[in-house]
Amino acid sequence: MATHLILSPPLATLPDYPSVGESVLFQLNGLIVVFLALGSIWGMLELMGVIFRRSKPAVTPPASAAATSPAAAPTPASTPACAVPPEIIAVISAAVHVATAGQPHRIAAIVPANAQLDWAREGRRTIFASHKTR
Amino acid sequence: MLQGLLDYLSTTGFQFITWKMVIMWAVAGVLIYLAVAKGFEPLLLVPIAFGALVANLPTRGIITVEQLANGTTDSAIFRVEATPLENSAHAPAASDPHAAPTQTLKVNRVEGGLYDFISQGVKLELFPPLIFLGVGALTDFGPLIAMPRTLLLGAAAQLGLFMTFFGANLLGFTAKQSASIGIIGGADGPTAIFLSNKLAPELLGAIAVAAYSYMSLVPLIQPPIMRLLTTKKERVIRMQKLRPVSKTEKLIFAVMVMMICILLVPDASALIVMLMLGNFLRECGVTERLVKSAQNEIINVLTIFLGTTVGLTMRADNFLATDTLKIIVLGVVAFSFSTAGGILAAKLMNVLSKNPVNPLIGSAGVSAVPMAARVSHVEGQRYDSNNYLLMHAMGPNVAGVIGTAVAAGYFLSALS
Repeated sequence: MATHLILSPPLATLPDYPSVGESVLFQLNGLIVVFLALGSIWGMLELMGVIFRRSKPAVTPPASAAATSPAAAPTPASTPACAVPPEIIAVISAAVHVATAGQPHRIAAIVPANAQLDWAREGRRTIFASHKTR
Repeated sequence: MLQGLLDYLSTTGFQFITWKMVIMWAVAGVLIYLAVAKGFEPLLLVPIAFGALVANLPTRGIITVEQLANGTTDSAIFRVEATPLENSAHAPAASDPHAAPTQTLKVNRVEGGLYDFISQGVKLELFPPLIFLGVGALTDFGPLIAMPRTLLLGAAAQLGLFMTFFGANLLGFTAKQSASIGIIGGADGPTAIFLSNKLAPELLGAIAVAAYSYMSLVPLIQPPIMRLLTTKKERVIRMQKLRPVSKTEKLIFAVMVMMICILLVPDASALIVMLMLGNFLRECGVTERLVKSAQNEIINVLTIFLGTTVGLTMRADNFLATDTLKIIVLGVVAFSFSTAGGILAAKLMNVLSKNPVNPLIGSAGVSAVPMAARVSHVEGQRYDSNNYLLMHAMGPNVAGVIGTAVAAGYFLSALS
């Protein structure tokens, strides 16, 4: 009976009020299906991870990619094509310094906000904020 | 003049009010209070509570309800006016002599209330998969791809579904009803509605209310179980930093997960396809307008319609029954077992693996995105304020969404 329930799909034959044995085997089958599905995805992801890690070229971080605290302001050369004026960099750096209460910090990049993404981001923020953690 | 007033009064709704309706007004009031004053899942509980209130008022033009011969009620009944087309009568096919003769009709008019039409979105299983489109567009599967073994935590957290199936069956529910109640443990509202609408539509209102109520109570239900099943040493485990995940990996993930799940559990197709479509749109980076719609307009509009439709099923005749109380109790049992399943699986993982996992992230396997992950994070920070578990917990959290959809597919293939 147990072999029958696990190996073949007689699930449609489960009566409305199954016996304890039938019910336990039904649950066992369900857990096996769930583990099989998620386990297969796990295997696929591990394989994908190996392939991607191998094919990834070694990246050396550019020396001027970021400025380091306490003088946290990035140099003009660190911003792409000097898109952000130096005075804005100074203002942002000062704001970060105040916000972090003088703690050591590092500004990795100053990037203009992408207006295209703002609505999507706002939607995400609203939905996430609706789930209050008490 | 007096007769005219009396005639008018006979057309008002006062005469139809029953004591059961008044109790349901109080139930709706409690739900509205929890949602508005306490902030418990307001996006869903407000429309559900409002729908429940409307369902227990003598409305006209909202939804048509008929008492069936077996004593249950059926909602969303249409009145169809049609004309038979000439020479359209078809005799039963020779292969099936017992089939009734059919006739082609030209539909002239379909009469129904506003929600007779809108509730077809639930009856025809349209709303839950479309909400999954939005969920997919809102979900970042990066943490899961970076640490794929947390998929097992999402799978283990489905333990509550199956344990509750057993308990519900012992309490006298049929197998179909038990599966619908068990899915509450997945903490995934759209999936719970999707499954119960197919297997046990008579319990839809109670199951939806239990599912969303408990989802909002995750921060209260889970921490005691998390503390009970973990030691202080386990709670302060710091996990390795997650590796960055490329866009290509995320795109392959969406397609492959969809294919694997459909091949293994075809009955979960509607949910999985829409979830992964939404996620693919999000990650491909060239469909910003569509992602915006899925993340905002589509999911918001459908949430209003889904919530009110579910609320409208909470008619006093159906809802005020001992079965509802049993479902409320079984729901918390399902949640507790699911939480425990995820935590115990994480502990087992620590025994078998050299790379430790903080067991607190196991509880996030019960979908409820992203609240369950935030509970893991908050609980971890209670014991080590510099331990940031949020992104690690998002792995089992989103794995739980997939796991619950797969479990629902299993129940459907087994029982429908």
